[in-house]
Amino acid sequence: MAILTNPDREDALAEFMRDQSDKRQPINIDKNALRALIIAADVSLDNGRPAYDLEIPNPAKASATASQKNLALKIVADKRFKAGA
Amino acid sequence: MATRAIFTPYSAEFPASNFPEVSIINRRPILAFDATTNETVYWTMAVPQGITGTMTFIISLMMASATTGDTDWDVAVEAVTSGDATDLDAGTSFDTVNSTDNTTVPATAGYLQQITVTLTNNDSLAAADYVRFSLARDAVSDTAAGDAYVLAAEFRDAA
Repeated sequence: MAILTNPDREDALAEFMRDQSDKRQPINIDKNALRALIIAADVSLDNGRPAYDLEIPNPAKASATASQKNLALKIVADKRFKAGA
Repeated sequence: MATRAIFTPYSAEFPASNFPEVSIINRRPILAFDATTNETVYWTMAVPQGITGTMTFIISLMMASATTGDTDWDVAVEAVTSGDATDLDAGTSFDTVNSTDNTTVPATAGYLQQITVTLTNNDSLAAADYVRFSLARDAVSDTAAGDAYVLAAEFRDAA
């Protein structure tokens, strides 16, 4: 799972601002600071990926596809976010 | 100083692409200008008699989310006099844009802010002209995160 391209990061930035605008949630930082937040989130996912791979037990480690491992990570992260973690 | 026109979201006209969404926030009609794409809206009128002096365009807006940063706005004027060589069904003839940049947003989202743009480039606007105003948020250049909601705009002269 490679880091996002710059256009993808800009898409993520736009999506973040759209979400918060629709909810009318205060954003107490400007676009540049928000862009840095998006980049940090992307880089931290990349940095954390080896730890996730180490944590996966067999037989999933050997038999699950890369996209299935990514999907598990996405679903768990989504559920934790919805739970407010 | 005299008010020569008042424009609302429901009287707005739109280009074919990159236009703000018309929406309602707290029962107030608004034009939602995006934070990443430059979006444009138009208003049209016939210029009233007696217009004189420096002309200004006042934008009434609130921010959806931003409590820091700034916004940039561009207003352009297209004034057409009877007989002018402007093919209205095929083109436009807007003058150079007038900009008001780097206006810091209110510290609380949802607070009203009024920004004045002086129409130095006014396409030699004169009484009886058919005139169109173009309003655009320069979202690519400004720093405030989130939508800007335009509630109304006012056109004034020096009378």
